Amino acid sequence: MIHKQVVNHRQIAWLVGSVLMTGMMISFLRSVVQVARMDAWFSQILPIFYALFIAYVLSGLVEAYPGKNIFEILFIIGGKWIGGAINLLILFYIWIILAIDIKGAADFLHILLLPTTPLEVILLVFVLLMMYYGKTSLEVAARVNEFYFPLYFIMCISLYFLLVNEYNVERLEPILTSSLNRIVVSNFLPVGVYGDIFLMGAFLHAIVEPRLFYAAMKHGVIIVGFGTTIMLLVLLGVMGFTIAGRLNFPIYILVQQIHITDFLDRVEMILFSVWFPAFTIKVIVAYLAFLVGVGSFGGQRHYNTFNAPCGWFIVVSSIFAFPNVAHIDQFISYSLPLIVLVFQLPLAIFLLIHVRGKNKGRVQSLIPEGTKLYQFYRSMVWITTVCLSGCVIVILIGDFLKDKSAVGGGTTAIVYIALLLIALLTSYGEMQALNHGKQKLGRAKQAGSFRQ
Amino acid sequence: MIMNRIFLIFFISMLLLSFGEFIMKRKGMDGRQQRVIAIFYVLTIFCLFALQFQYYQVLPTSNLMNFLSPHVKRWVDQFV
Repeated sequence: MIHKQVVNHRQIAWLVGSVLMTGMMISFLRSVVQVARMDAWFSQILPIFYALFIAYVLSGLVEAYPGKNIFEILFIIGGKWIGGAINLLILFYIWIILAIDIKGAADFLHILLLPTTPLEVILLVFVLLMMYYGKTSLEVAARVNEFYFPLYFIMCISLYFLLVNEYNVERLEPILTSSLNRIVVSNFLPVGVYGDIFLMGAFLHAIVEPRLFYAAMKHGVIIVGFGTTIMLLVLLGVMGFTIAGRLNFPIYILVQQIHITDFLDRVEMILFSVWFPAFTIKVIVAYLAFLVGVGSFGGQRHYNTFNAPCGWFIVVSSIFAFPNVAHIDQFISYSLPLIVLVFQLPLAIFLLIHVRGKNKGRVQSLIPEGTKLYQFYRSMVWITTVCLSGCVIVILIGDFLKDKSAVGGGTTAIVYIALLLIALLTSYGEMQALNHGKQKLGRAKQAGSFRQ
Repeated sequence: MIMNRIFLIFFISMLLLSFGEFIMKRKGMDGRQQRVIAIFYVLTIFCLFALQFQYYQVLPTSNLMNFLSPHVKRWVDQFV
């Protein structure tokens, strides 16, 4: 796809949100609840920091190698053989994400919604949809996502109100009484899912403004952290950790608990019809990243010719790799975080060191220093950093107070949520400030234009 | 797992169709591109073959993918 595409900062933020958030909702949250019990909703803060680190590295790569994607960059840095080997590992990693998501969604649909439809047929239909989008580009997925992701996010937040009659805050108490070890481990498990932000590396060649790209991804990551925390709060408040930790599809069962009135039945179908397109966008982004990676081995960016062979391969290989949903759950919960920390993190650190050297001395600012907009932007950056760091400090203080004061737990919980919410708002402010600065510099037409 | 026959007929005919299209168009393609596409077709046929003859039960691929999971789970259990 050589033609020019336009994906703006908001679309990037929401794409990141969709990529990271929708996949978690099938069965992953069960393992987090099993580990941290009623304190599982404190499990998103370290993964947020991890995803921000990856976003920072990716934006550094854009600055150092404008117009190149991660596969091309690795070929440049590592040469044909070493770069090729690392790219093969990245392709394998993307294939794992695809196989997990496609097979997980097919199993979920087969078990809960379409029990008489053969699993392979569900899988095939899903892959055909993916192949249809494979003929297009990231722009189309971003525009579809712009419609569904806000609805999905509002749906997640509105669950609290829809389930208020089933909610009991006592199921969350005593707050922060799990050992700190449990909370730390529960923060380790979602790193695997947050590592999916690496998929954006396949589209770096289409990005013009690295700082705005980073701010957009940062906002997307914080949306995910906040949304998932709220989902976990609702899940634990409605079901308690004992039940939530034993269900294969906890969020689906949670949504089934909505009983607003007697005549409004099966609300979960309405909510499911919003989740499914948002989840499909995540899979499409992963598939496009896979095609871009395969295209880099094929020596070109036209990935249309690889669409059919890759699609057929993914249908059979996903069945081959993960025969049932229990294997997928086990893999996402325990193997994926390890793969991310053993493979993705060292690669990101290596790339960071490399781009630090390459970007030395470059000054890149979308906002002229000393202006009111610049002051606003700096304050937004600082408040976001302080709030996110404050979340970690609040957990540590809560752990210190756990044997001393019952009120302490409640207070730390409220402060934690408030800090996350402020970080969400200020990260939006940071992104908007950069966008205004970009437009004032007269780069409105150039910046945000994605070529693929 | 015995695969659904309708799926098999549909999938194999689509696979053959796209493979035929590849054979027809391959002369206009770059050599590297041809090799990459051929690898994907070979892998697809291999996986389909293995699924039909239940080879994945003789060599459980899910265990291969999940071989780290029990170790990590044990470590997590010990840690908490």
